Amino acid sequence: MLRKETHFEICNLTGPRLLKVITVNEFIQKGLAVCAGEASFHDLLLWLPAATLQDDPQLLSLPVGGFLVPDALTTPTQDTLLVLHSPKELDVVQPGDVVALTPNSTLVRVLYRRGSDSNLLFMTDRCNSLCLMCSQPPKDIDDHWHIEENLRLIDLMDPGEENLGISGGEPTLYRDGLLEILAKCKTVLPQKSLHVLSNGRLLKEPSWIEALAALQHPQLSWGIPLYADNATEHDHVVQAPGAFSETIQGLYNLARAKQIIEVRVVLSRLTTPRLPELAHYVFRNLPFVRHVALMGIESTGLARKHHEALWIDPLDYQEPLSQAVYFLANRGIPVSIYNLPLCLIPPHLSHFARQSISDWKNLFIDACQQCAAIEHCSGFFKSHTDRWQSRGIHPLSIEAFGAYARSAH
Amino acid sequence: MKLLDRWKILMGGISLLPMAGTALAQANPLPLADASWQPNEKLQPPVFADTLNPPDAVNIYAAHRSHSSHRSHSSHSSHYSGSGGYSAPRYYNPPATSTRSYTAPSTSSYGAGGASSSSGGNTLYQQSGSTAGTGSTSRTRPTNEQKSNLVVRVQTALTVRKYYQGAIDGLMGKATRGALMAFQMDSALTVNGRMDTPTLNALGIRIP
Amino acid sequence: MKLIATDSRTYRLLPLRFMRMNSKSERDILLTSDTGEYLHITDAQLQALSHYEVQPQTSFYKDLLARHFIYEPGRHDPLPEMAAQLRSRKDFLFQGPALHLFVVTLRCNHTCQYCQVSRAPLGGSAHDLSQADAWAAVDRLFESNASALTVEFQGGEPLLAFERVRQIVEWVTERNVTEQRDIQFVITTTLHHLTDDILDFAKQHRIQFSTSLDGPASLHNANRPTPSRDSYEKTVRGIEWVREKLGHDAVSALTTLTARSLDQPQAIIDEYVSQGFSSISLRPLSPYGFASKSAHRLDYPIERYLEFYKEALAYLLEINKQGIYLAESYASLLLKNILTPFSSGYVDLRSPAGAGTAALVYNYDGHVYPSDEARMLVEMGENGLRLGTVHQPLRELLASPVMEALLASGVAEALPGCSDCAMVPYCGADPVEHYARQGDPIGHRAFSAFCKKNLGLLKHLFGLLREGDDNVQRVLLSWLNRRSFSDVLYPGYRS
Repeated sequence: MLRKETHFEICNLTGPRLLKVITVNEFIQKGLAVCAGEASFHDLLLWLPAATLQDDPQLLSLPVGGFLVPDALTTPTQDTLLVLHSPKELDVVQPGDVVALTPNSTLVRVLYRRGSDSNLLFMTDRCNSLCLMCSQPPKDIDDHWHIEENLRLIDLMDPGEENLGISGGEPTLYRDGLLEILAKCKTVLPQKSLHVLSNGRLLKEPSWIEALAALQHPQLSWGIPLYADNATEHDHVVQAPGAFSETIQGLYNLARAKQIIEVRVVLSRLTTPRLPELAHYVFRNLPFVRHVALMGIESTGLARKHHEALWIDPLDYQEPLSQAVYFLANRGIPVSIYNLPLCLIPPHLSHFARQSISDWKNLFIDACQQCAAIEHCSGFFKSHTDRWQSRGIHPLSIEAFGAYARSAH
Repeated sequence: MKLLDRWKILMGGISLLPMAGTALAQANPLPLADASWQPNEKLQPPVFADTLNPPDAVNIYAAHRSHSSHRSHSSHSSHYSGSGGYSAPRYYNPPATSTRSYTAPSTSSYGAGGASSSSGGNTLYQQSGSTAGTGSTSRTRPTNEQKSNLVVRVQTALTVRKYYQGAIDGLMGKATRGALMAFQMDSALTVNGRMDTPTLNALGIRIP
Repeated sequence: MKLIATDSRTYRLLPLRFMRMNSKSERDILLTSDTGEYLHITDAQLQALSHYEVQPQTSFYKDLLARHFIYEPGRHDPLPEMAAQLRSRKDFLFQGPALHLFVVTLRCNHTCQYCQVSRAPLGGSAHDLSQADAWAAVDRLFESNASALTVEFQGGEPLLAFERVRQIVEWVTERNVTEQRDIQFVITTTLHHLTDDILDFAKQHRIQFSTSLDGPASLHNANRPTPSRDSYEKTVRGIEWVREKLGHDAVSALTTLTARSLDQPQAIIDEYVSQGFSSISLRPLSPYGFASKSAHRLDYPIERYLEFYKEALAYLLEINKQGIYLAESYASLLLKNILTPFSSGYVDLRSPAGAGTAALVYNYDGHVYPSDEARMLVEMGENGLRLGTVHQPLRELLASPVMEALLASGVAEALPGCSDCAMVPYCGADPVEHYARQGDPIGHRAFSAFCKKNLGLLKHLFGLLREGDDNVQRVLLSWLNRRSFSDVLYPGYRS
């Protein structure tokens, strides 16, 4: 599980910078075409292993924004050059990544990681809900600077095909910034498919319909959580009275704007008892959703405080899960199960399970080392603890895993 | 008695939506209501399309990630000053033409990076110069900046191949040209000291 | 005395209907809402619901709320969702007529006793659709705003006037180059007059065939006599020939059930299985044409039909469980109405009635009728349902007083007996049938064969959905979603 930041020795950083890491060869080959949008040489951070630097010290005269030496620095450099060297962890920053630097700090954040399937544009720490299981507790601060950062980040990403998330907090809180970012993604990153995570509540405003319909992004989808088929239960989970109504209105507005919609449900003690009924509600009232994601709970953030109310062993909700999944699948609504280890999913549900935990967040425990399914399993969140561990975790033998493979379509 | 007359008697002459019949015969759909009623066009109830056997019944999310959480918690926010950055909305307008517009290079050109060049003011991230083309398939004549950028790449390529030891400065001077010609000679290319396509290909430089 | 005018209630009622199912279950009351959502409840629960005594924290309360039987004033407003469901269910209204029947001739080589149209002699064109009328009918076709159109050739026997069929197909295809609708051609035929020429043409234009197959040879030939007494053999040969040239699914079949048929449900189904059909339509006799004249010999009380149908359905379920896919088409339609909020494609079970709004018939004599049954009444001497001639523009035809009369008696939600029937979201109205049987387009529900049939079938299906085992559910779902039985791995939540 790869972290998103590490520390470097940094020389001569005079202001916050957003830089694209590029090797010499890629620089020669592609030049600024390595970036999807507008960029100049000053946005580049040249990846210069110590050996290369020794061989060709005049590379330091390249008019780029800075240099990154992924080793110890043995060759002296000019006082004015921005140089990063001696990283604390080697794999965190790699060529193709976009990193953010801040003066007076040795922290280097990776805002974009080449080849990762979980890059995202972080919009804000603010949120208008306070879900009991919130994995990123909101902060009431003015952080609209994220918008500018994201607009710049878009220019520096690789241009190719990949999934890009947009999330927070609640992204729709910065409506104009979000719309601007979506428009820019359409122009600068047309090959990337965008998935916005939002509670949908602010989308109840009808003006969103026209704004979103006008966007016409070819690959944009929205992931909206819905936790119950009734207001009382849903509002309780998200700790916001009126949220259910607003979310349903938001969902209908997204449908009017012809958006692609995914409904997400975090599986907990509060949501699993009426999961089949929720599936029924989705089918009768929201059949335009293109996908339903049923997600194992992440035991971080506010979830820890509410362990008692939320925790239920997945072995104990296999029945309602199966009923809900097949109800939807039989009616032509695609369903997936995320974030549950395969050993906790009955074989007949395994072909709905996806390997879904971001590469930088997942891990396996000791019991997993002998498991035949380890290549296909989403594993655990890094925040996983014993309190949140099912009694059913066990390695699957090759025969047992064969049962899973056979039941797949 | 004609059928219709009998029916009318039976039904007591009830008449329904007067325009009901006509609406169905138009090539363009007409509203099925009295002329004075104004529906809110924006907020019509959505109509559900049949999900039972759609033509493209594929789970587009089969390979999708959950994006279930946000990035790791770090106290990064304090590193940025509250000022600067986003203030008023700037709507992103895509360029009017498909090619990127290139402006003349700014005066704060390619000094060694790191030192703050021109304005630090409004933008968080210092981008010196303005645009430099990326990913565009422009066939207009390259600007000076583009040409200079290309020279930089050529100089870099010549450096790693040990043909060039000078400063990588984007200027096609004697040393650079000499190195280029030496490379062309060694590579059995036409020795013309120009950055022509076969030469660029041989150096591993892709255009654009 | 119970105080009911108080504001201390946590909920208020939304429009709902209920019906006793007379099943053996404790939850014998079927509750249905305007949206078509339903719930099986007990008598005690119905009482509690009506007296505002249902407790908010119970799952019964939450079910009532989620399925739009009650709402909480001042809290979530469910009207947008109800509107969306209702609008979707009635979405067919925004399309003009989608099914257009061209009666190209009344000539036929059969003398079926239940035939609903007269049989003119095989020679002579006095009962054929003229070229001028056909041309005008094509104009009418495209005046409908439906984006998907079905052109169905009827008769008599349409292949006896194949040149006219060919003309019409070619005209329509040519016009469609600019119109760009999704057009499907169907020929309903005995398949006795096929030629290579006809099949080549059909292949070129992707024409589907629909034929009558009443059952095994003995039954089929008894129902459908021809001079050479080999209707069955010729039909089967025709089916094979069509499949050979156009593919297995290019031909479908339906039965007509006479009194004789009702004795042999399994034999009929076995016949369909052996002919490799994937759908069977077990429709009862209609009170039109010759059927009404021979009623005493052919007809049967609707109760007998229902007995037959239940037996046939049980047999079909068994066969499907063994992996043979054969769906009953009326049941599939009713299941779609019960289990989904989607608009039905079936013009004969709709409210507002599909006559005229969904289907139009261009008769051989150049007159236009709102349904096939309406045209058949003509053959009984009743031409009162004529909309006009094929040379009048469509908007004029649909504005005719006949249409007004049909619509006035064709909205089930407004008819006595239907308006408070729990099944009304899943059912329809049929003014033409009620007129034919009772002499009155609205009809008296207690004597209505249409009502008995639909109510009987709906109740039976609700029973199967609730009591049937998992495999029964899987079969029914496989008919609903048109997948194979083995692809429906588990039934899932049973609402």
